[in-house]
Amino acid sequence: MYRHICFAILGLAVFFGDALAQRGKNFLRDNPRFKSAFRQIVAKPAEGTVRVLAEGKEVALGIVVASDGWILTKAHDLSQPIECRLKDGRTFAASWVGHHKDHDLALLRIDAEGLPVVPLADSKDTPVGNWVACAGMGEHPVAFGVVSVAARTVDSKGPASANPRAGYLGIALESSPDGLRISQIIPKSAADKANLKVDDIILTLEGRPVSREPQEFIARMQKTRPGQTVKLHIKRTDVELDIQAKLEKRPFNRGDFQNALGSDLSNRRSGYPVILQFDGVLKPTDCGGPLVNLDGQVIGLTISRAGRTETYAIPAETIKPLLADLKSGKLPPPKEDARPDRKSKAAPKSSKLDKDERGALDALLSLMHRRLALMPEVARAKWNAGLPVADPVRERAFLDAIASQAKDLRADPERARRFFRDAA
Amino acid sequence: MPAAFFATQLEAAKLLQADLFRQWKQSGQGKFAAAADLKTVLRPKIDTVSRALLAQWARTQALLARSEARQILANRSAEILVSVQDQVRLRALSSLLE
Repeated sequence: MYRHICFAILGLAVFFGDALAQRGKNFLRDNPRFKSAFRQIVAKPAEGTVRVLAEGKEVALGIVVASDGWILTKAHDLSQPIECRLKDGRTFAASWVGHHKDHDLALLRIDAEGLPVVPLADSKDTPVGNWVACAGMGEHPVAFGVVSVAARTVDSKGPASANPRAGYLGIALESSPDGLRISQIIPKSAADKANLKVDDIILTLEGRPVSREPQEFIARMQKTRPGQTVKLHIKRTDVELDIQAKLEKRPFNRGDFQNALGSDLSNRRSGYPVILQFDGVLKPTDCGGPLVNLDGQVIGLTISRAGRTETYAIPAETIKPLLADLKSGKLPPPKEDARPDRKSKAAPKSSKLDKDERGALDALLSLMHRRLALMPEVARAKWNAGLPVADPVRERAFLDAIASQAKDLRADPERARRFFRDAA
Repeated sequence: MPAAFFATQLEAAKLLQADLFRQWKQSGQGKFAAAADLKTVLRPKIDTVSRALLAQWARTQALLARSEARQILANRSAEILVSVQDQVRLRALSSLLE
């Protein structure tokens, strides 16, 4: 009996030791073998997945919704100029045609034809508990998880997790018949130091009236920074007072801490009319891509990494009826003029290439192609002779010869002139 | 540097050949009935193309310093190197697009 217990303990120690050793590296979902199990289901949707760049930075993924260059993506982090990089490596300048603010969707157009379309299915066929994967640009999914909440509304009652970098006042609020009432003051907080009291009614923040509902005040506070001084106009019993509070850093709270553990969260995490929630760990810049069920059907477009293990997608059945409106121009994107600070930052207008320059690039590509086009014949000859593909000695000699030839040509302009004439 | 550019051409060429070898191994391919001679036929052809390629590479150096030129090169590559697998094509382009 005693011996059995000893073995059991030993077994457990081995089991946990092994599990802990793998943690962080190959633990469960990070395991490459686990990832490759999802390869097949994302293969098809990945073909029509594109990388979206704004001002040269990768901000989201997108999906091809029509073969003649229509791309759907997440709108929130977009700014002009926008580009789309396809799986085959081509990159196109994109024009922003449609913008659905509530759903945070953007429809882009690129000058390309014959693109592989990502077909949209129906999320209702994939109930809670089902495995889903997020297709990316590569052959492996960029995330996977389990559907945790079926399609529902995430209203804007404050972000799912408060912006941890916003300024911190240190009050709790409630709606009352008299207005927005302070129900609690955190001791030693900015509010306490500024002499705010419980039962004070907040009338204005920074000179602008506040709503009776706490959400609006909280949302405005999200835009502040620690160190900033905010002006509050309040009513205490029957006296109105002006109060200035110097905001502080938000104390570390367990929810924020846990949410920060995974990795970065999306900038927008609330206010969606309808979303599907799953527990995948998706990078914010990988949102905007297809969410795929085990049958390989695309059941949504990922829209936000809202928490450590909360990721949202717009259900496919919500997207389908919106596409026509997005295409029509009825839902225009934000005007660039509205953001003058953006304009100055934009890259200097690129000069167009002339016909000769384009011809020179085409000639370079044609020669690269001609060289590669000889390779199947080379392979057949090597196969027949039983030679391996690689020949390191010959390759080294070839590259050395190229380098010395280039050096000679630089040193001898006349020789270079002849070389370029003969090598045409 | 031209050596870096040609190194990626060699890598792309080997990728392409290795892929064929894999297919042939899988299908139990025997010797090919008609294959051009490596030494007397194919290598001279490769050398001719390589010389022209070196010249064209040198001609496009200033141009390829411009990002819009690299962009056009990447876009056009899918149309011109159309018979080549994506991974081979992107490997061949890699030193030009850095």
